[in-house]
Amino acid sequence: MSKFNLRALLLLGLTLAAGYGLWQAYHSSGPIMSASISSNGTFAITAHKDQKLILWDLEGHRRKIISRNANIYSAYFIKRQPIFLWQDLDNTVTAQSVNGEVKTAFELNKPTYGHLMTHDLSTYYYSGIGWGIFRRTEDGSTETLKATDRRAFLGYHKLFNLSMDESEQWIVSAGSGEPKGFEPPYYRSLQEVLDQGADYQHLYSVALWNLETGQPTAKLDGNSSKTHATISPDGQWVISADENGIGSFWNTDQPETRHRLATYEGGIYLDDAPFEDGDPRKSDKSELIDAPAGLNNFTITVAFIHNSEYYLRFGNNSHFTALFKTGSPWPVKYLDLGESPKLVTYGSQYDRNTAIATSPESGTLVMGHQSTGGISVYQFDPEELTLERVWVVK
Amino acid sequence: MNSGKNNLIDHLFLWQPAVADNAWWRYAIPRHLRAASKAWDLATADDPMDDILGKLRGAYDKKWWIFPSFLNNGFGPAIEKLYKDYLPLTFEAWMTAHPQRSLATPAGLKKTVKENWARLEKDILAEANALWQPCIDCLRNGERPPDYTLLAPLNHQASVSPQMAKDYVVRLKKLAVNNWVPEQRPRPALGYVGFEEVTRRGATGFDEFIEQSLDDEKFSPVDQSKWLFSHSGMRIPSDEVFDRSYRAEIIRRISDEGVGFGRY
Repeated sequence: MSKFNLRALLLLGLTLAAGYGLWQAYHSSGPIMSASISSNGTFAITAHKDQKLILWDLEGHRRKIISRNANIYSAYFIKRQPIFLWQDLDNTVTAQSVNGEVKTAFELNKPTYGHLMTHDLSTYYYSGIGWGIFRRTEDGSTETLKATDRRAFLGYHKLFNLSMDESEQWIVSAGSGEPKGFEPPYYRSLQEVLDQGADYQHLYSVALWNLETGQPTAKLDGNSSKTHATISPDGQWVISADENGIGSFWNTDQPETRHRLATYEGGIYLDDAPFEDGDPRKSDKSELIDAPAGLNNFTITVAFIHNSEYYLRFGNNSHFTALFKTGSPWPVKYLDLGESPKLVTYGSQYDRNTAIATSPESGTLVMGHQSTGGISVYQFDPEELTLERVWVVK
Repeated sequence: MNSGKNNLIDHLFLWQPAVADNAWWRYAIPRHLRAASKAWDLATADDPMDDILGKLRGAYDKKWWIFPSFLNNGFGPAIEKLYKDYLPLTFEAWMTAHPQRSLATPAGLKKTVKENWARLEKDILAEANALWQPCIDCLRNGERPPDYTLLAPLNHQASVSPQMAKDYVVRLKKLAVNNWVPEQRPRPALGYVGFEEVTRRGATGFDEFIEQSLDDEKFSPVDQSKWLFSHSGMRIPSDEVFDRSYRAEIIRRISDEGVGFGRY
C-alpha cells in the first residue's frame, strides 16, 4: 500500500473515531436524578444530571431524548395516562403525550423539586427548594398547602418527597424525621407545628394531606433523619423508612397507630418492653426469614410494586431489596437486584431517591445507576414473588 | 457503658474530636481505652456533653446544619476561598440559585476557565519553585519553613518539591472535574466502622445495642463526606495525607518533642 493510501486510511480512521466520540458524547447522559413509569408499564421518563430528559420504550427497548434542557427533578408520569410531566430550565411545565403531543403547558414562577398532576390534568401539585407544597389549578391560581422554609433542600440535601393515591384524595409528604423528644409525647402535634410556623412551614416529617381540605390530617411520627414515604394506590397504607434504618407503616383509617417494620437482623423494636437497649428481649425476631448478607436497613426509598399489596424497601449501599406485604411488619422475601452495573442505591444518594420508580399496576421497577446514565428495568411476578432484570442499559 | 469486664469500655463517645481515625487507634490512646469495642464521634448543635453522656441522646440530631454551603459542594467552599483570584475554575454552576440548573457553557466561559487554570498552575509551580530552596535551608538550620499560600493544603509537608506541586495540580484538576467532590470517601471518625457495618444483615460485628439505639432514635447517622474536607488537614483526602499528618503533627509531638498530643 502506498504511503498516500496509508495516510488517507489513517485520516479516515481518525475522523471516524472522532465522529464516534462526538456521537457518544451527544447521546450519552448523566446519572438519572428522577424517574417515573407509566401506569401500564410500557414507558418510563427519566431526567438526568446533565439536564437530559429521556423517554424509554420499555417494550421496544428504545429511548428518545426529549429535551436537553430539563429540570433534573421533574420527570413524572401522570397516572393512568400516556402523558408525562416535566419542567424546562425556563420553568415552563409541560404535560405531553408519549407521541409528542403537548397536552398542557404553563410557566411557573420557580423551579420544581418534585411535582404531581391529577390524571385529568386539572390540578398540579409541586414542591420547591424550600420544601413547600403548592397547588395550581387550571385557571392558573396557586394555593399554598405547606409554606416554604428558606432553602431546606440544600440543608437536608434531599427532596421533599410527594406521593399521591389513585383516587387523588391524599398526598403523603416526607422530608426528614422530627427528632424524638426526651419525654412523652416525644413529638410535636400538628397544632404545635402550625403554631411554630404559618401554613405548616416546619412540617418536615411524614404527613398525610387531605386534598379536599388542603390540610394535613395526620403527622406520622417515628422516623429519623432523611425519610422517604409513599402511599398505597388504594390510599389505605402509608409506608415510610429512613436513613436511620427505621421503617414504619400506618393504616390511613387509623393514622394515630404507628406500626414498626422489622429490621433484617434485629427484628421489631418493642417500644414498650421494659428492657434497656442492647437487651435481646427489647426486640421480636420471631418471624424473621433467612436472608443474604449485605441487606441494609438504612433506607433510600420505599415503593409499591404490586397494586397495594406488595412493596419494596431499598437499602443504602446494597443491591438487595426487601419485599413486604401491606399490613405485616415482616419481610416476605429478599430480592437480588444485581451487582453490576452498580445501582443508585450505592453511595448514600438520598438526593437521588427519585431515581427509583415503580408502577404497582404493571409490576415494573426502573432504577438509575450509581454514577452513569443507564437504567435497569425489572419485572415483578406476584405469583412467584420474583423480580427479573429484563433490560439493562449501561 | 462498662460491660462488666475490667478496663473494657463497650462504647466510647467523643465530643467533636478534631483528630483523625488512625491517630486514635495506632498511637494516641492508652491501652485500656483501645479496648473499647466501639467509638463514636458525637456532636449536636446545642446539647452539652453531659447531656450526651447522661441521656445518650442527640447523636447528631438532624436539624438545619449551620454550614449549608458545604453540603452540596464537597471541596467547593474551601477551594473557592483559597483560589478566589482564579475563579471560575469549573463550568459547573455550584453557585447558581438552583442546583438542578447549570449555567450554559458558552465558549467565552470555557476560554476563561482554561486561562484561569493555566494561570493557577503557573503560579502554583512558581510558588513551589520559589520556596523549595528556602524550605530546604530552613530545615537545615532547624528553623520553621515558610508557609505556602497557593499550596496551603500541603502545608503539613515540610517542603513541597516542584514535582509534588505538579502532582498537586493534577489532583486539583481531577477534583474540579468531579465537582470538587473527592473520590475517596472519608473514613468513619476515630476508627469506628460506621453504623452500617454493625447493623446490616449478616454483619460479623452486629451490635444489638447500636441497632436498638437507632430504632429508638438515640443515634442518627450523618454522612460527613459533604463537609468533612473543609476541615483544615483533610482537604486532600489521600491515605498519604492521613498518614503524614498524624505522624508529623501527633506522633512527633508525643515521641520526639515530648510535649504531648493536644498542646497548642
